[in-house]
Amino acid sequence: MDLAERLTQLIREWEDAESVEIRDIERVTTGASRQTWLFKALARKHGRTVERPMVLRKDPKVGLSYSGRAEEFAVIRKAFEHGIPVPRPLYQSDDALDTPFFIMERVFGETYPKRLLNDEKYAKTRSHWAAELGTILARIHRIPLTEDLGFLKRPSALEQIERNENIWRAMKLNESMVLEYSFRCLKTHIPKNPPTCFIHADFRMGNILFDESGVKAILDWELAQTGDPMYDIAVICMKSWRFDKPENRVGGFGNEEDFFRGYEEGGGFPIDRDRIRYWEILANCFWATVTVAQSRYFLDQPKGDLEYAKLGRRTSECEAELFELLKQVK
Amino acid sequence: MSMNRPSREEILKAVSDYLKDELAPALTGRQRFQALIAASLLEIVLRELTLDPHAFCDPDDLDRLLGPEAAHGRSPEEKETLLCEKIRQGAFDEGPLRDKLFHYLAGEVRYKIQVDNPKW
Repeated sequence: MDLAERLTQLIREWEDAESVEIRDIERVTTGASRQTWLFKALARKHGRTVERPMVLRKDPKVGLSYSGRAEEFAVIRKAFEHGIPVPRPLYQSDDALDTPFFIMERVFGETYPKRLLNDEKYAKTRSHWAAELGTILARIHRIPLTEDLGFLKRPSALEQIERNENIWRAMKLNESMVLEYSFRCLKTHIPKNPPTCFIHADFRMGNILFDESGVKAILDWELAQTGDPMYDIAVICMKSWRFDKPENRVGGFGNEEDFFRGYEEGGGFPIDRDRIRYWEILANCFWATVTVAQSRYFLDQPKGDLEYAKLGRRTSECEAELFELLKQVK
Repeated sequence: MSMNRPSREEILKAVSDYLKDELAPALTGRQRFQALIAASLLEIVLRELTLDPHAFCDPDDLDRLLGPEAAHGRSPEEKETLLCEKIRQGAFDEGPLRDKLFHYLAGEVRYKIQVDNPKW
């Protein structure tokens, strides 16, 4: 049975519908860690047909995942309940398809950073994005850590550093004195008792969906955990995620003042620039490791995909940025 | 012995320009994207062949960071590995040694980014 047929069956059961029709199913290529499918479901119930655009996020057959799809689904549901803009979560199962998955209502808009940062159609609202996202992030950080979120990972700073360092050591193809110094610096400068809260942990361009009116949805909650709220701010300020607009420190579109103002208005935690820079170092180490992994992937394939070769050489960008950050550490 | 012209740099430049300016515009979708990536990879190689790393960092600085005895008889790769070990142990955490290391790293980082992505 193909995927569309199986989904027809499942959605008919879940909706208790008389009949269901799946239309326009297509796989989109975004990110290697999850499979993403788009489709429309037309459910006939009590003589009425309701059409809903949906998104399926499904684990690949092989590959590592930081969290399970059931956990990610629970996180999205929690965010949804707290009024954070996320796609409406619909169904989740670990065994109804060949790998674990969940289904959400599709939100229409754009995630591709280069179009968001350059297209004329976003010019009007782009200047509001920083404050808007600041407020949304503050509300994410205010999600209470209730018992039903007990599954969230709660790594200490040292555990986070060591996790990243171990992956890098296992992955590296050559020495990098800058990465070596970064890990050393992170260990000797661990923030003393920072506040801890719910964090998204991958809050960056590419995971935020916009349309002409502004922010529509925060996506990709796979890495959500508890941690220092400054970590999320560090990630959206990373130079790698500013694309061709490095002068705009927040995501390539905004400035810190607007973002911090929005964050403060939303009831966020006190801003601490030293801690933001500290977590930027860790986030760049993480991204450097990803680029090394891409390089390895290129070298392991009989006919390596050229894009992975190019990504492999982007490690230098992380090193250059890490060095700039390390120079500022007192 | 020297090779006949065109030189490797001239060939790389010509092939890269062909991919970017002639082939890519004639293609669409994924093939076009791949042609542009291919051109940009050749440009990386070209810059790596053209830029002199010694104009960015003095290899003797590496020996000075390690100390002449530790550096003696080791290949550049072995020296880097040894230096990484010392960084890990905290030998460059602060003071003049940190400054010296950072001086060397500044050159290394600048060379690598000038090769891989000068627009960064």
